Amino acid sequence: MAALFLVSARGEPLEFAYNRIENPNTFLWRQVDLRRYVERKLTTSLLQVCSRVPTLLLCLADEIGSELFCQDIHVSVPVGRIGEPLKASAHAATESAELLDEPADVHVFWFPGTPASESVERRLFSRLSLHGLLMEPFQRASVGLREVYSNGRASESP
Amino acid sequence: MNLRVDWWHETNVAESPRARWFGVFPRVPRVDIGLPKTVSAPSPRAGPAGHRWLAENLIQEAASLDAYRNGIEDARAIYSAGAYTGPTGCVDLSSHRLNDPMPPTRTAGRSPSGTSQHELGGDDAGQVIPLWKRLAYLLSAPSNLMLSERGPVEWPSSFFDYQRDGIRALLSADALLLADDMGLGKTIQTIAAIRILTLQGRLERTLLVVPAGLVVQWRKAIHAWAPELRVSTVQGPQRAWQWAAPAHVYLTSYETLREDFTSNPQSPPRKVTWDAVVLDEAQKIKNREAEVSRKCKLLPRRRAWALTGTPLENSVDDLASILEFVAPLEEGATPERLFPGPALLDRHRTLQLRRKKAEVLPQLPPKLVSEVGLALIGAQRQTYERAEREGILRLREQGEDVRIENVLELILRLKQICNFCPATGASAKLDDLVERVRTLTAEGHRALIFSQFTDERYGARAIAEQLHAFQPLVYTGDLSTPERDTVIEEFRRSTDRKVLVLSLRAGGQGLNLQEASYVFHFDRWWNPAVEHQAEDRSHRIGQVFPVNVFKYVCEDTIEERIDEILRRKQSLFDELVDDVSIDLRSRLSSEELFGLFGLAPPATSKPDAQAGAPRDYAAMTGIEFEGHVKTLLERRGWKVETTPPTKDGGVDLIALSSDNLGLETVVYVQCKNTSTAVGVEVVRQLNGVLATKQPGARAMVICPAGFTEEARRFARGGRIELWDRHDLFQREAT
Repeated sequence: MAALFLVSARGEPLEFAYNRIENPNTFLWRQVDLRRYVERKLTTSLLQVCSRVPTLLLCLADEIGSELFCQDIHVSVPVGRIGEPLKASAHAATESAELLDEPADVHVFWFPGTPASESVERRLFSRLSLHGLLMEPFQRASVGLREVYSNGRASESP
Repeated sequence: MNLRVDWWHETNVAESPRARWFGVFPRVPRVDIGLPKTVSAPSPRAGPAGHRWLAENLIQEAASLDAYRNGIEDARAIYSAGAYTGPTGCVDLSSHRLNDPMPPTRTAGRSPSGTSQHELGGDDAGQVIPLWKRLAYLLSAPSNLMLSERGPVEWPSSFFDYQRDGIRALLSADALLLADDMGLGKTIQTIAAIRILTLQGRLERTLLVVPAGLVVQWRKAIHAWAPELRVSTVQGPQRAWQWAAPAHVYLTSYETLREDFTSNPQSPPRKVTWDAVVLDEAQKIKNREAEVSRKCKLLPRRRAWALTGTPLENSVDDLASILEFVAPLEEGATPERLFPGPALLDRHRTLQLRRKKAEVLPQLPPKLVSEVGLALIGAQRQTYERAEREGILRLREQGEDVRIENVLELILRLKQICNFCPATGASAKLDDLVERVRTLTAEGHRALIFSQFTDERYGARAIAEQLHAFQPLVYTGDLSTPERDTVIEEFRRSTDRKVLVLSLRAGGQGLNLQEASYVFHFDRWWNPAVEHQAEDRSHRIGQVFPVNVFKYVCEDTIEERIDEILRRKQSLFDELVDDVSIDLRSRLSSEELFGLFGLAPPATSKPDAQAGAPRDYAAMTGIEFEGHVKTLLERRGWKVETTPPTKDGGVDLIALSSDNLGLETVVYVQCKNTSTAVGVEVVRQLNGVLATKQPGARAMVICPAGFTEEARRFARGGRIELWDRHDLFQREAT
């Protein structure tokens, strides 16, 4: 399952898109390939329903591989994969890595490149980072997903 | 469906994973993916076309919402519990309105415990909460993050820990009596809570009711601590559109609320259900019978917060009246009536959050209270002794007809002489005060001087006149609200203004005056709580110097004798019920009052001996008549201030009530002891004066000779009352 959670620079929730995918016959496929395929399908389904154009896309590096936005899906906004050094997956050559001071020991892998220092994207990223909003919204998104899908009580849309 | 594909596109569409054993043969794996759908909150600003309601799902687990917020690991465990298909979609959260009424839905299930019903829109335990609303609540920025210094919300300065606790209490409570000591920042805690809840979409309309003199201070505080909130200040003649203006916070005074809350259910304060109603200085509703108390309690509200440093001023009834407000109230419902007893105390313990300065702010500079005993000398001593002698003689002469009011009148008179000698203007207090002010101003400090009197003979104006070298400012109840604001602003801004002289009643509450570190009580008040409030104008957060409080007491006078009783009773009260205080005037027994003058109280209390007999008003001078009216009003529980002769277009007296009526009511009184009836011009002129005063103010013309028909017609149905000889007799007799 996955969610696309749009927040403002102050952390206010703007939009929450969610979806889930199931593959009944996983044994047939190479896990790496399957994972990549599923990530792409899920992501495109979320981007389809998203009604706004974000300024910046951030995702967790240990959940999303570099291929997704470097090869499979092209977006017109900078993408940052965030992760702790030990958890972060190896990044593609086309990504540029950055070690953050705040929060400490967090890596960001940028694609197509690190936003320019005075760009809107950079300022937004700095603000999110400064105000504790880099990782925190992922926790909220996780809570939201649980609310939607937990305990099998969620039903199909009417 | 509204698709935004212009900013992204899929590449490598042809590539598919390869099956393990088919090697190079590409195969598309079979996956079940939910069709993307969109749902939106039912808002006028709802998102793209095609949004529709998601199935209303039931929340089945009690306390689940709280667990969600904290238990991410727990959530993961539940994810893996089994495969299921679920709804897919996109919720537009920017336009959510958590307080929207619920749409008609099927009912079943239970509400989440630990969460306010109204936060999720559920009206009763069986109502379904739609998914968008649950998500809007769960996905809002956490309160702790918003409160933290490094969080997404910028605060003008950091909070103390106890303030964070207070804000959290406000955030989680539908009903709270925030009774922190004065100066601990109840205002900013409240504003911070309103701001967070508004940003989270849990508040849309908040009504803030504050004393008229504090409206500007609150507006500035909101501007500083919640700059993104729109504030509509409801006061003055433009109130209709001020109530209707779109705003997050509606800021008004008790007097305005009393006027605008009418029996019409469509009157602005009662036609909406407020997300929160906040009463500042909630002791204003301590009298449950007062009009403003009844109206405040009838406001439809989802949250009710009361702020006061002195929830218990006089009796447990005060507390009961305030707690009657501290509960949500649905439109058309009747507030619960509370009575003194164990249930009330239980409720009090549940609803009150009270912190004391000594406990939570050990770093606040100390408050050093000194009593300054002074000996009256010379003419002042002679005048005092003569007045006391004659006063006691008169009391004795009245025999069994003597009343407590006669004793109180004598006490008042003697207190005035302790301030200034009426014959020579000499004042032992002033001599000492001038020396102290000279020293402290030379050291760069500034001072607040409180007096219960405001006039130019015994009170604030007399003090200010004598201290002219220090460029004093005067703050009294007869100033209009803009004039009061100007005085406070001038004192804060100009360091040349070394002294601010305030009437205790007008300036003793709500003001922030940390600029001064010296406080003088020129004369003593009956109620120590009122004195403490006045001192805490200076002794509050932001004060960097120790606050020195000086209380003048003239030795061997009525002041010293009353002080002894006050001290004895206060210490007893401290032991019993914390540091809240009582109005000792109402608790002084007849024995104690008469004992002040070595007298015994009469066996029975009888009406004033003179009450039945018509007075000869024609024999009185204008000043005497004014004095007579003043005494009459004071006997009826009003605090009366005499205005300077040239002030206010003929207004002679300003009568204020708060103790007896429970709210600050101002009446401008014009005394006319003429031989002919008063004409309409006088009433018209007073009406013009009234228009410049604060909303809710009333006026009165008193003339024993009566009024012309035209004058009566003009006054009929308005805010001006006319008293003639008959009205006077009637009031004197009761």
